[in-house]
This record gives sequence, C-alpha cells and structure tokens, in this order.
Amino acid sequence: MSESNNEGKVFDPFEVWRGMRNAGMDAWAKTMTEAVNTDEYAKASGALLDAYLTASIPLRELLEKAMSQALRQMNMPTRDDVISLAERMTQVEMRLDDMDAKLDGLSRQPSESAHAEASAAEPLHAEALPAEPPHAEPLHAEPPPAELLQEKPPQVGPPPVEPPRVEPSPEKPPTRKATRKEAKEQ
Amino acid sequence: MTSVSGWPNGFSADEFEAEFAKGEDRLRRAGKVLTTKALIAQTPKELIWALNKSKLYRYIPVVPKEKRHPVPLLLVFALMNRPYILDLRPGNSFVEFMVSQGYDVYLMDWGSPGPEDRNLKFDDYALDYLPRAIRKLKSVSGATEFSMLGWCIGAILTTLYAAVRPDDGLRNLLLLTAPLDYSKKESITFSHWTDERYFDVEKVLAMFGNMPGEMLDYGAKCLKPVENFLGNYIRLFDNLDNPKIVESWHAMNTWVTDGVPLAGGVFRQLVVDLYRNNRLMNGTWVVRGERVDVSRIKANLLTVIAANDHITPPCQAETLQDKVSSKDKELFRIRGGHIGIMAGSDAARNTWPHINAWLDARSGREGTGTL
Repeated sequence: MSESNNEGKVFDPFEVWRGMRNAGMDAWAKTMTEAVNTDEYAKASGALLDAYLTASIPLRELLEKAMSQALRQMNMPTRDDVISLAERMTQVEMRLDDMDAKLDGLSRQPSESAHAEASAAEPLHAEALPAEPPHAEPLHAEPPPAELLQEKPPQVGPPPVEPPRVEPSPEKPPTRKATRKEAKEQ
Repeated sequence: MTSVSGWPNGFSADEFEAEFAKGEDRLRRAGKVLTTKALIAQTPKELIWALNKSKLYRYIPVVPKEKRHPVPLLLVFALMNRPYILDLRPGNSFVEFMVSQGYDVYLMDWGSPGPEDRNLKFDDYALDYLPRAIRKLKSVSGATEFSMLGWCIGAILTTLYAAVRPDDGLRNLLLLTAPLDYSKKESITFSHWTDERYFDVEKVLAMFGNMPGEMLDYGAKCLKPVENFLGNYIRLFDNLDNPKIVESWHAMNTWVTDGVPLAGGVFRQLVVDLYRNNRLMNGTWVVRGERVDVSRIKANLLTVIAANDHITPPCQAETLQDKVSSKDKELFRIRGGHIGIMAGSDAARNTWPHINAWLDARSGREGTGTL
C-alpha cells in the first residue's frame, strides 16, 4: 500500500496552473481596465456598433414594413396598433389611479368618525387595515402642470348620472294626468 | 491497493476514483448554478399599487406597531435592474434587516418597459410614477412624512424628486452610489464610451427603441472585462466545495442575468443631458418645464459612496453634499464596489448598520430621535 501523500494532502494536478493563473490575473485585469478607459477603445467599440447598426436598421425597417402590410391584408393589428393601445391603456390607468386616490379619501372620512365613536374597538387585523390620513393627497401641487391642462383626455365611461330623487308620497308633486282630472272634476 | 505510477508522492486507484467522483460532483454543481435560478426575494410582501409596469410593494412588518418607526421607508432602485438585489436571499437581505429593525418598508419595482414605453423619460418616472406611488404609500401608512433610499439610477430619480418637490414630506434622503456629477470625464469610463464622436444615441434607439438589458449588462461588464467575464467564473469553480460561497454566487448571478431594458427616453437623457452635458449639477436640466435646482433639496441627507466603485466613481457622488440646502447631511465612504456595499458579504457588518443608525435617529415622531 502506498501513501497518497506524505502530509496527507492529495495531489492536485491543477495547482500549478492555478498558481500561474493567479499570478498573472491581477496584472492582466488592471491592464484591461485601463485599456477600456481610453479614447481608442471608445472609438473602436463605437465603430463596431455603428457598422452593426448601419447594416441592421434598413433590414429591420424593411421587415417591419413587410410585416405591417401583411398583417393589414389579413385584418390583423400591427405592432404599432398594439403599441398605441398599450399607451392608451396607461393613460386610462393614470385616470383610474387618480380616481382611486379620491375614493381612498372619501372612504376614509366616515371610517375615521366611526373610529372616534367606538375608539375602544380594535381592528381585527391591524396590519391589514393600516390607519390612513383623513384625505387623499393631491398628486400635483397647485397649479396642475401645464401639459395636463393642455391635453385633457376624453372622459372614460359614461358621464355621471344623478340618482332619481325618491320622495315620500304626500309631498309628491301632482302628475300631469292627475292635474287634468282634477281640473275636469272642478 | 495499487499506486498509480507517475504521480508524485504516490496515488492509489481508490483515491483516484474518489477524486474523479468528487470532480464529477463539482461539475454537476457548477452546471446547476450556471443554468438555474436561485430562490431570491423571499421576504413576505404585499402589492399595494401598480401603474403600467411599475409596482409598489409593502413588506409585512414583523415588529409590533407601537415599536415601529412612524416614518416609512421607500426603496428606489435603478431602472435597468431588478430591485430584488435589496432582498436577495434570507440572511443576506437589506429589506429583511430593515423590517426586523422596525421600519415600515416599501419597495418600488419599475418593471420591464415594453415598446410602448420607449418615450418614457426621467420626467415621467420621477414626477409622475414616483409621486403617485408616494401618494399611495402615505395613504396606506398614514404617515405624512417618509424616508427615501435611492440607489444607482434610483438615486438620480430620488434626487430629482427631492429637488423638484421639496415640500412633499420627504424627511430623509439616502443616496447610494449616486451618479449625479459628470464633470470629471476622464474618471468616468461611460463618459468616454458615450462621447458624441463615437456613440450615436439616436441610431441605437432607432434600432432598439428601448436600450436592451443585455447591451447594458455587457457594457457594465466591459468596465472590468477580466474580472467579470473570467474572474467571476473562476471564483465559482475555485469555491465549488464551499456551499456558502456557491449559494451566494448563485443568487448574485441570478440577479445579474435578470436585467431589464432601459426606456429609450431615459437612455437618451442619461447620455445627452447627464454623461455629455452634466446638466443636473450645472443646474441646466429642465424636466417638465421646470429647472432642476439641487439647492432646493432640504431633506436630511446621507450619501453613501463605494470607494472601489467602477460604475459610479466616487467623484460622481460626493459633490452633491456642497450644493444642497439640507442642514443635516453626512457623507459615508465605505470600501466596496457598486453592488457589493449593499449585497456583498460585508454589507451586513458595515453598510446596513450605519444606514439603520442614521435613519433610526431621524425617523421619530418629532423629527429627530427615536419613538
């Protein structure tokens, strides 16, 4: 039986190579870091990128044009159509976000007064229902930004409809028919 | 047992076999680390707001409400990387640490911009998305004041917000490795690369719309090519028998390879307004028709600088201190790299405790002190 190593250490065939590698690595790294921070490198990498873009852009435009035409022929939305829709969605989301903030403010006021009346009652989930300020903070400080004033988006959804007033029957005004009947009796 | 002839000090066949098996196991481990994603961002959180691709998360507090700091903390990371670097993995998570210290922590996730977002600019992110998220944060937390931590490009956004909206309740501003001053071009490698003689930003954006995450990642890696393209993998192979290092490497690699594109409008502003013309520090940057004047910043300010940062050299971050109106300001210089100061092995010993101590003294009910 032979001993694997006099010191109990297994021979690692890569150790020599690793030592050489570590010795050169730092110097190499330093040289390269300095090299990329030069105008020559910036010029060379810029030229490479420019060559790639010069070759790619016309091809890309051609492909896009052909694809758009083909999709239109098939009555299908093009990339531009989808992008346009997505942009409009974001605008709608922003309006919804403003409405949400206003609703937050409205819903908080009654809950605060109720909380004041029954201050002894603790919320079931304190973490899930954090305390909220009494009013929604406006997003834009007064006055609102000029662009919001300039491009007022179309109103989303139907205009608000006032609920019909329901009043007790004794105070109900006479209908047109009743008035005629009364007039006839008189 | 027979010894293998030719090997120094003798080497038995059994030992050779064991070594071979070990090597095979190491290769399998390396393959797994290089081809799979680590479990990251484990701290429990809830989504409280979303707009377009942006999301605002609130981390579930673990400290009772009466012991918590009343001033919430909003974390804003860069636009071109995922923000979960702040919550990388259990035991090595800044978010987890701050939550355990009694902060009400919120995280802004900008998401990944699509082709429809190619025209988004700093103006939109800092003055539309961020204020809306802050409005929600205030609504959910019930606080009127808040602290904000901006890191990398996130520090540009938070600086912009703090300068344009100084009266919106921002009490504490923390800037980490903030690329704000572009005057010393010879020290900033990106300034060389984006020089108008060599780099046509309009041509790039005409091709891609948004700046692809892969190109940004490649650019960042090229700043230190040997370390990033070679040294990083050598470190993994050298330490494959150390589970702690492998786990850490796996999590970091998951994050590094999960880049997102940068909105075209932001990239254009970054190159033209900042890298080329240094408009923020010159006081000539106009966003939404308003000049950005950093002297309007009055929030308490902590600037954290990474001494070995090659992406944002210290000269880019340290000059803001002299320009703001904040009475309470501190410059904290720490050894480490751009990401390492917050997600490296020393972060939990050095950076996080300092941020906690600074914020703890400024997150009380009356402006200073603790609860």
